[in-house]
Amino acid sequence: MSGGRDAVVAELRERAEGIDDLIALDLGDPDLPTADHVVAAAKRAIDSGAADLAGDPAGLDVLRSAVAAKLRRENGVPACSENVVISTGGQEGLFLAIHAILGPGDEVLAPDPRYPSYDAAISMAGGTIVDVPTREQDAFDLDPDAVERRITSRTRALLLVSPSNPTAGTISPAHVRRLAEIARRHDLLVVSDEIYEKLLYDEAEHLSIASLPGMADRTITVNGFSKTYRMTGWRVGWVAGPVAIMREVARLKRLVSDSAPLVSQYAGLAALEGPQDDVAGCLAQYARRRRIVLDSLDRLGFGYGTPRGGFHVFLNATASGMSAEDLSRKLLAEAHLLILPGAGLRPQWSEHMRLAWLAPEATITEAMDRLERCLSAGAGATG
Amino acid sequence: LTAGVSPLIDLSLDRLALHSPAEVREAAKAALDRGATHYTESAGLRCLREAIALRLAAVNGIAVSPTEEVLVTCGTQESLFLAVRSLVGPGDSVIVPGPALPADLELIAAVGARASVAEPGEGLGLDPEAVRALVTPRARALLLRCPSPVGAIPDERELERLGAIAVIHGLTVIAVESDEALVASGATHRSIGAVGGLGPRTVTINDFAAVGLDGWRVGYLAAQSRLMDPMRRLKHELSICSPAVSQHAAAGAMARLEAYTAATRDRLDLRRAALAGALARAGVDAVVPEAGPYVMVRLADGVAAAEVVARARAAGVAIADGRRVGSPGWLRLTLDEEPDRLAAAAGRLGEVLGGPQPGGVR
Repeated sequence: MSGGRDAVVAELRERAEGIDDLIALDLGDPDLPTADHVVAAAKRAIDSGAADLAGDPAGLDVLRSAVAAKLRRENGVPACSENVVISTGGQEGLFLAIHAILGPGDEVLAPDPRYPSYDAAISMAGGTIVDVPTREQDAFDLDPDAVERRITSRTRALLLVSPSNPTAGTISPAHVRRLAEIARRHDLLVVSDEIYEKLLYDEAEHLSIASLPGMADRTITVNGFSKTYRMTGWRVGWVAGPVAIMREVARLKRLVSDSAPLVSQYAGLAALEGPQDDVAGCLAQYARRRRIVLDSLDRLGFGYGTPRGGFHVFLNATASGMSAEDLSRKLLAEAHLLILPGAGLRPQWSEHMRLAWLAPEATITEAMDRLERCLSAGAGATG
Repeated sequence: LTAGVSPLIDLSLDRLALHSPAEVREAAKAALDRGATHYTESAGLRCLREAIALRLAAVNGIAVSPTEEVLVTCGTQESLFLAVRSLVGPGDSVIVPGPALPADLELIAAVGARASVAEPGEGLGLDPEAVRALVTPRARALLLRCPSPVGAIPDERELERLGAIAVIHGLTVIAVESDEALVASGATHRSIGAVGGLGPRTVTINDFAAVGLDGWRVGYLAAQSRLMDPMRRLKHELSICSPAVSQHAAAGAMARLEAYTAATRDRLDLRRAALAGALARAGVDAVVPEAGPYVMVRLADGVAAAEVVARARAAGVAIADGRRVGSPGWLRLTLDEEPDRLAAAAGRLGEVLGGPQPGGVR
């Protein structure tokens, strides 16, 4: 929420506006469109008039049931529709979950680096964030010992984000199991943001912590349709957890924005219940783009935590001899590439940049060519 | 009242069941075909904000910059949350002219503030003096639904008096005008944001529910930048942007908004007149407001609303306790049926209210 963060992002975006051949690798908005069968379902809801009348603030019963079935089937999480509230996007879901469980002075252990909206939600709820560092050399996995060392009598909850934005790190199943054990031992709640769960690379595996023994009663899982199904503009997601907490989530949902858009809820239903092969097809495209990006970073000698999930890499710009912020400016000015510096997320991540490969493969290739040319020209000039 | 009872006449809905016009649906679908499945600018589609700013100037007399002073939201509830959460803090008091919606009071409490509800005037109307009497040093904002939750609209003098109270005591005005389109022909809606001196301290909230887009969750708020900046930041942290497809539907509705709402208004005029006339003939003590989707029926002293609601249901009419709109001692009748059925409902309700009183002969 710092002015500095907003200022650098705003400056770069403003400078980028007039550039004709700009390649923007900054946003977390998939370039590929929402699947045809999902759009078709939305159109049917529009034509039938089903999208017009506002419904239950907690969401359509059919969608809550479908989400519960998905949690049971794919994640091994015991859930029925009463355990699910439909939110207006994953970010609102997180806001609702945090506000449902936190009171003033409560501490939340949160992996660092992380997307700044977590900080905003936690501080608005009166909570205090305790950073748990994650490291590039660990591919930004979360170390259970580092978590446990930071537990105090005021610790209320543990935030897990796997795969993570911006680091693209995942928490290994072995670590998830140890974190569950720690949560049980210290009687902590867990907020698990799993919005990138289906976008995994190499041998990465996703394990939902709520599926582990004794964890469904203390875990709130936040997820949505935006990233998996390329539905950012529809604003629909969900929160799942113990019934008592979900009653409070539903109450807050009614006060914060009432029901999620009905047209989007019907679209989400089609995404969950329709064919899933295009999710795999999309992931295969992301995997090719990722290879292009990582090969290029390797040639440049840039460090990074191997991205195991999501659609971005958190790269270390130290090898360029510049701060990430300066490199962002240089790349924008000379190569017409928009890549946000980590300091745009939090000031202490001044060496890192988040590059999202959400453009066609040819564009990604072109972007990495420009990056390499720009940096080798710089190296030549300085000798 | 047995064999002749037709199916239940339902006057208990919280909202009118209004459907979107065909052209609006086509606009939304065409946008989907063009790939409007991505995030939009956080503040909303530029074309929609421009249309909103034009309408605010032309219809409401409120001048705002479309780029800086209009924020597209996920409907009135989100607008209200953004305003209350951003502009009111723990310990502040928010004055709410009665009758007050329970959900509004719940929202104020949820941000740690205290709601002070002003007693309504005669016939559930607005009483500016009751508002003034609640001003304390902690008073921070005035939450004004206009039309009110029971369809009352302040006249020009009352609105100016309220405006003066806000200016003198430094109150921020959060004006919810989403029932603007449900104002009866012959009555006039006025925006408090257009009253002299109120522009810099007013947040004006409206939506597209009256054109059948309630379920699409799209609305807007307008305010000058001192008030707008924190709301804009919170909007981004909360929901990033409003649903793209819904914004395109709203943009599609803007071109003919006054025509669509005129159709709704005409239909409601007929229903309101039919119900009012039939209630009068049935000897029922009702307040027929100048706006909104309801007619309010006054209960005699000592008559329990819950009991009347149950007996009316047994007689084939579903109605709601007035508490749903902050009016204990009243019944709420929603104008969500056609005139003939509304008249039939009034007849049945007249029999229920004129029939055996609670505790009387059964």
